[in-house]
Amino acid sequence: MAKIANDGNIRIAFVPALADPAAPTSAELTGAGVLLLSDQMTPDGYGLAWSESTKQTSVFSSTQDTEEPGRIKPTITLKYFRLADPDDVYDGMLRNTAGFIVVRYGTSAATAFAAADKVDVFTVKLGEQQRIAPAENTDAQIQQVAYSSGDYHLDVAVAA
Amino acid sequence: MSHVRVRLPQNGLVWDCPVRALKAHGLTPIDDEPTGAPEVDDVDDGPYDESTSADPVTAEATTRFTTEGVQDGEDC
Repeated sequence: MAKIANDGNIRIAFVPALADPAAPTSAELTGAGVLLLSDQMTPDGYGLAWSESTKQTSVFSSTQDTEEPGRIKPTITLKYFRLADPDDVYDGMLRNTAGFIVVRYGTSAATAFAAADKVDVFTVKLGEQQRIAPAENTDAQIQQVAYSSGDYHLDVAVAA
Repeated sequence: MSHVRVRLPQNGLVWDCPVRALKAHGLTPIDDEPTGAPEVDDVDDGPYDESTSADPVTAEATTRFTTEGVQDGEDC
């Protein structure tokens, strides 16, 4: 089977509210308050880090140490360009704004979310819009952590 | 106030929207939505009748003032 190309094939959006984060609808992913991030992010602007703890399950009577997956937490760090006004992404991603980061792989980034798409959904609360220190030959950029404030759902199907 | 409550048209859910993004999103704060029903303060209670209208603030104040001047340990 062919590999899934990343370049040009990842669409990322901030979505304000989902009735069922495990089954977002196409209307919810394209409606009011939705911010398309992937067109404004830097090439390295989607930082997805996972921290997974280990739960020790060894018992006294055993001769073997055993373990299982413990708590897990994704942390998303976004980096995007700051635009001259109007900058809808900058205005809409204010600190402490709650919502969802929705990510779709394997389909052209230019294609709108549609029913039957498979997406990852992360419940988040946004951190500060950190100005990145300016450097030569760069445009103004913002770095922002999207804190995991609730459940995440991987590979869920978009409902009609 | 950095956020204001809005109702999203796509699913009817309430969301705290950044105030500065209201215009771009085309959303209206819930407090500004027309309800069609009169506000509680707008309901006509009829003419004021002084003889039957109790004034709890005055009554409470009167009670409080009558105990002033009582010395410690004095049986009131």
